[in-house]
Amino acid sequence: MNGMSMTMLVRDAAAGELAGEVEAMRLDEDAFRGFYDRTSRPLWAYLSRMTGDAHVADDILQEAYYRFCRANATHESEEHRRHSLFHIATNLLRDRARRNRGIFHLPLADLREKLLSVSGSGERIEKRMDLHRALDTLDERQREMLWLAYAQGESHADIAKIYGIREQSVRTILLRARRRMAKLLRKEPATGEVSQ
Amino acid sequence: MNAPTCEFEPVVLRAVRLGVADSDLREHAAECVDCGELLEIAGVLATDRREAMREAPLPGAGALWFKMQLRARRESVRRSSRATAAIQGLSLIVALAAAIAVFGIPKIDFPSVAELSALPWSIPLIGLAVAGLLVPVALWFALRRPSES
Repeated sequence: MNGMSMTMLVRDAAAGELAGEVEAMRLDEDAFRGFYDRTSRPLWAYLSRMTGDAHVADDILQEAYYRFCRANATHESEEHRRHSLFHIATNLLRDRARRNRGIFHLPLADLREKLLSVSGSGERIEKRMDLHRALDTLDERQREMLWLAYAQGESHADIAKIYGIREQSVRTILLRARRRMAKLLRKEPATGEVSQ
Repeated sequence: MNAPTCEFEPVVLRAVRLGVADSDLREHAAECVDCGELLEIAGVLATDRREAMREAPLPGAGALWFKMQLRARRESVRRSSRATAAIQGLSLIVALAAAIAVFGIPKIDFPSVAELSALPWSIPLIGLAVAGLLVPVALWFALRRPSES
């Protein structure tokens, strides 16, 4: 079957399938496109760094947008909408962690190979490896919180809402994780601080 | 563990997000352990985020929208067929119950094994009955989708 007829078949099938009312997906396509363009890169960055795997990040990203659209929730603002999306994505990461049972380690050996295969200075690669090694010493929750707070710029209150804990607990967890990361990045010997 | 926070932490975070830290802030970060640490960690993470965002191999918005629509449609069909099957099952049970209530439980005189085995066509008949039971089960296992397993 040539490419053209295949495309036509897919188009016809799509027209047939989409003819009926799809109750769960009420978000307008244009609105979705705009929202996706604004949020997909930061979301992918978050997911890829938390999972250490581009393919897994892709899967979770698509699932997160699907669940976001299906929820069909009303949002007060763009920021609120973005928080909801990151909330869903974080829950998906938590589910994955629960399924994996135990601390998930970032695939550092794969990462080095990937970094070497793309252009980049040796120093930059080493810096990135150091960062990932340091992140790998944290548990999933600490990693996620650090990213959300310091890379993504979410407030402590928003992070507390995502995890269902108090703001003060978020502050404490972040402080511990930050101290640990700083020591590792400066290559100081660890003091044996245990992650929560 | 208490979490001591410096009042300038939000200023440091904002500076990291914007990618600019003025000399006053840098001076403060050099003196304040918390802010120095925060500037370092947040700076490293923000740089890594920028790199990750640059290299993100994202599916197009249109393609993803299309896939989501198809999936929603499929799930909607699956939900409605499940509901239909449940209603059919319930109707069958109600009909059987009504029939039993009206006519009572029928008495059937099953032939004994000895009587059956005396018949010349009993073995092929039993074979057919077993096949009739097993073939649908085998077909179900062979044709079911992997996601149902």
